[in-house]
Amino acid sequence: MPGPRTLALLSLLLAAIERALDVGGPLPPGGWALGGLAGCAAIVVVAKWLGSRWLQRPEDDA
Amino acid sequence: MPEALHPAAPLLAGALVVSVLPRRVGGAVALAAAATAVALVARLPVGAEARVTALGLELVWLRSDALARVFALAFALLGALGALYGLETAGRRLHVAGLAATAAALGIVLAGDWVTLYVAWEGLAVASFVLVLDGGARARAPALRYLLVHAAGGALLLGGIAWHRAAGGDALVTALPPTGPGALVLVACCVNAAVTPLHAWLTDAYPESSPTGTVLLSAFATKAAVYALARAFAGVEALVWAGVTMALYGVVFAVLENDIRRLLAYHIVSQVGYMVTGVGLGTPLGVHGAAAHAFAHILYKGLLLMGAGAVVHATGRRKLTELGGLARAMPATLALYMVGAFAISGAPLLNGFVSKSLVVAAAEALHRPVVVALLQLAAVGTFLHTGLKLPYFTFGGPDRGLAPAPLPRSMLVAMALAAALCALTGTFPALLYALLPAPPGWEPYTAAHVLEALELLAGTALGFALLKAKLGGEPTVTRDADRLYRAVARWVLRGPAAGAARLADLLEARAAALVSAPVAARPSRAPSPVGYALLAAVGGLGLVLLAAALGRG
Repeated sequence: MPGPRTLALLSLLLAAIERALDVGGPLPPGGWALGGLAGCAAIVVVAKWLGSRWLQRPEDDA
Repeated sequence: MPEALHPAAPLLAGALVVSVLPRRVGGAVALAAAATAVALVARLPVGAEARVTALGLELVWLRSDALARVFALAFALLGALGALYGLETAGRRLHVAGLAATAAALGIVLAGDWVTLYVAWEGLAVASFVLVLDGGARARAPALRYLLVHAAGGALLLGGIAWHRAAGGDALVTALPPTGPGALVLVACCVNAAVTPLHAWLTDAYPESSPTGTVLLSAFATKAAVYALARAFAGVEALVWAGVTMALYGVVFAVLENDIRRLLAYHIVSQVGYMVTGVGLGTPLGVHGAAAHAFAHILYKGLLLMGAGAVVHATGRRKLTELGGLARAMPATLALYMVGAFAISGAPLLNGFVSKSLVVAAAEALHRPVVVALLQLAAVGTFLHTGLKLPYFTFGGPDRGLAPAPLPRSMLVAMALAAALCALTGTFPALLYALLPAPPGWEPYTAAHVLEALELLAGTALGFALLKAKLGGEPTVTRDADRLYRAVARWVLRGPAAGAARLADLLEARAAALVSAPVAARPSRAPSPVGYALLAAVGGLGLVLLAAALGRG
């Protein structure tokens, strides 16, 4: 699995291609990569919070 | 005379033959029967129809149109792939149940009238119950819960159909209003489609079956319900939000999941959410997108569960906390699993890229930016779990020193065929579009769309790389909506059901005493199945009578 630096560079490269081709939609170049990063963080934070508060129980207690 | 042979016919005949054959020969016969069904569906002409009159009812037991054929072809293909996957491992019972489930699913989507649809619907519930049971002793309780939930859903469907007909409604499967009898049918479809919070039966039961059983189960019940929703309730706004909720609910719960097949089961809920949203949007692009996504999903989810099942088969382990470092020992399984993982994540050149974007495009066309944004957020979660978390902690991650058993060749061949179909219909979307009722008029391979998908995947992978320390498996179980059902079920089983069962035992003993020699009628502490069956029958009948009375009133 590539490391964070490689993936960050890949995201920048894709944003540069998007800008060069001028094919962007409603988001600025790189917007979808940022969305992926932010969405990933949001899903993990929300799920972990719900899990620790209500949803997760040790296997032995099931 | 029927214009065409029903594709379920060779499956039902095959099930009868397989039930009396030795296991290995039976597996080959099951595969041949399933392959025959694929050929029959592929050759089924649009517009084929067959009727029969029985018990005073005119039943349209075969009606083929373009929408039905998309689902039928996917069901038949997965039935054949499942038979191949289990060729060397599955027992006779699984092959029989697999053929019966495939036949029932075909019966649902090719049914022209409500009564035929209902009969096939119940047949699918029973066959799926047997498929869940194939998981062994620990699958018995989830299988029983599966049966109870689907018996309740079936009773609602029957009640809705009876009310609809009593009120002078059309016997044919056509659009229904989501009120009155339609509301009962809608709820029954939502139960089978695993619409949140009615979804817990799925994540409870599917992971407990055998590897082949789980692959087969993943295809039928939810997608048959999506078909019924598309046929009867397209454009119902509540389905848009129900679908979006499902799409997000599945990915949030998958973060917490430690069991690899349960994690994938949550993604069934999530992906079916896209289909339900498409149906709710109600436009041709939305409904056809839902059908295309169902077709794609059946293939790539089957592939993902084949990969997870291969891991379970080879290692005997199913939890992320017990797995790791399998990439060197199982490279082909990893490679084929990743095809499914990229497909479900919407990576270009694979079928999920095409089908998922149809549903999102339908929402964009209706200027529903919130729906679009939430579906994209769910896509992030999909890649996070199926494409990153599960493979990283199963095939990569810490080496647990596992020595996996070699896989049967048929398992790998089935996975390779499923992967090839995912790639074929993803690289050449015209193949997928040709199955739809009408050309969707949407070109997925534009520079903007390809870059959007690649950026989303890269950003998600970056997030995983930064957060993976928090995403490893934990030795926990997750409380889901099934807690509520279980509490209610416990009360019913301890109270009314136990009483009814004891009464049935008493009546049974008295009846036996009347017709035979004196029987040692020991009072049984454990209620017999007769009691439960009696209760289920009385409950179902009561619902039907209630519905009919309401309809007449």
